[in-house]
Amino acid sequence: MALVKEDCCEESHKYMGFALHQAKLALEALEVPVGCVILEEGNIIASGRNRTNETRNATRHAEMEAIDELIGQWRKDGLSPSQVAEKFSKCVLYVTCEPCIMCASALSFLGIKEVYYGCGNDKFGGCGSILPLHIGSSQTEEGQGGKGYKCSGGIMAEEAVSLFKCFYEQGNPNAPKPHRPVVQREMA
Amino acid sequence: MAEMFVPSWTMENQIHCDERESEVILGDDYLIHIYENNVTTSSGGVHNAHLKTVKSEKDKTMEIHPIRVAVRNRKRAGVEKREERREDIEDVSARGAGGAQPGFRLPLNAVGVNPKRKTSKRSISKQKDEQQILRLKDVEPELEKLRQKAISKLTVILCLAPEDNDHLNDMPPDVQKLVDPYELSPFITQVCKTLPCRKKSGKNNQYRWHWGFSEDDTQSICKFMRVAIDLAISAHKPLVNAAVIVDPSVRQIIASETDQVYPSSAPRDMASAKAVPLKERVESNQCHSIDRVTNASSEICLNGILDKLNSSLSTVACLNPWQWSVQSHDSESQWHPLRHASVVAIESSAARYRYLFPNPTDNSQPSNADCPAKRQKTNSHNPEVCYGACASKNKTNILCFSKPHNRGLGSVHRLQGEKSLNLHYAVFRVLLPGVAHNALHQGLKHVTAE
Repeated sequence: MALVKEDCCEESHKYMGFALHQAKLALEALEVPVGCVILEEGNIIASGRNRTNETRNATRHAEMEAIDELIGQWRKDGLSPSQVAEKFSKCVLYVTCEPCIMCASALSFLGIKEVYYGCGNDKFGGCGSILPLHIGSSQTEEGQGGKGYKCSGGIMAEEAVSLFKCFYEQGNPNAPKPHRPVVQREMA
Repeated sequence: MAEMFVPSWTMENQIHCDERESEVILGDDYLIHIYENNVTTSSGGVHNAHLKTVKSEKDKTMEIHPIRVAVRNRKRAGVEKREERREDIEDVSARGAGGAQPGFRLPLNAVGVNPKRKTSKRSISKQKDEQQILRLKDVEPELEKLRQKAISKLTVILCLAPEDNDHLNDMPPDVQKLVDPYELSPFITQVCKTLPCRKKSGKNNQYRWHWGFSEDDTQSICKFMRVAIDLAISAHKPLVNAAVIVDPSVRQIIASETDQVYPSSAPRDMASAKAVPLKERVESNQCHSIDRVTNASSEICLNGILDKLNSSLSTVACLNPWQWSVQSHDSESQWHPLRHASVVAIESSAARYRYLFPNPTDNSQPSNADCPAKRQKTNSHNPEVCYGACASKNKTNILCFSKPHNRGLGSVHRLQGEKSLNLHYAVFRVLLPGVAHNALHQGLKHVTAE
């Protein structure tokens, strides 16, 4: 039993590693370092990283990028919405930081199976930190929706946090109200 | 001697008190309390006295109010005839500094203005200035007036909510009587007992209260709201949700979009409605409330589609965000389960900024200079989707209109009240003055620029 658990742990670390790689890409592009991967039966089928600064669109979180990639792909394949929904119900998401309330409810709309996240998000987290949106909506029990998903966090949280520290130490030049002075980057 | 105020470092624990039932009130970090087991010296005869502790503030002072309470509680307990013999009000603490402060002081301005401590649950139906809490019989003509001239300002009716119960069913019957005819939608929130006297407490309050708009603002809000409604009902055959983002400084529409969840080109036929009969039955609760509202507004604009309403409601993406997968679709057309109107609108406004200000380093500049505001009409059941977006877009004003079933804005979550979310906006529901005598309930969300 312990062995199975270890396996599971190892596996999740492996996938979280891919998500962290995406986060590093975001960091290099001067974005808030969040990255994610979506798996279907153990295969990575989509990945995404934060693109809020690049697109000037605050809704372009890593999760949204990955979801859009998937939906675009499946739509191209000619899948119907119900088929897509079925596919989503088999998908697992690995993301370096707890999904925000927007992403958490979006994932619930899509009916994703499981979500694994790294560090918690005590300001915007939608998987328990602020609102427990992953539990699903209690008012809509009777089939109108309100799908919940399994959610577990704390996987390689230190790595995710250290990425954030990396980012915020240099200051977020795009933050509307920087909390600390932005370090001027030397132009190489 | 009825009572005596004793500052610190005056050997106050030696005061002689010869009558029983005397009372000593002292701060809870006072040395008698901490080091002397809450017993005054027995040689002074004060051991007869009843010692009562009151919470001290950080600077070792005590507020008047808790002291008053301490005295009064005793009176309420039926011992008011007895005199309080001695009140030992400790100013400086031996524990804190060990040195006497020059003179003694009572923080008189501290009485009852700390809003943090004095919150109580009240249920609010509409907005009235916090100062004027009207009696119910005064409220009714007031409401009637508002209804006649549509809404020019928001009004609140306050009443106490049951302490440990979040259900609105326990509203006082008088208030309940007002709720239905005026179509109010009550909610429970925490309010301050006292008016904000300081800037800080006012700021704390602004998350719970908004003080209304000027006449000018109201007009333009209604104008943009009308644009959003027109968009919602004209762009598509089924009723959809529409969002309009407005720059308030120049009162210009930045983006106006509708839902793109379902293929817009595909005409909605009865086949698709038949395909989802189960859902319609399940959501009948929802439909009831919607019917009430849309009936009220049908004279204005929704008349044409009202008969189709039951079926078309199922396509309003934000009312049924989980239902996207069972809708019919056209494989050629674009569909996306998350393309709710507000998200689409935010995206197109982002595209506009990318175009206007291509240099990424200018990023904060335009938002500063333009102070772009968003005004969104959303029918959203779970507007978390737009919330997240608004949250990270600081320095933007967001005004959001929604029909009264927006569960994220109040019916379910009241996200704007979550301080930890760092959302700089408030949410309003407005009564749009209609062409006809009835008005359409709309919600209006306002993000105050920081």
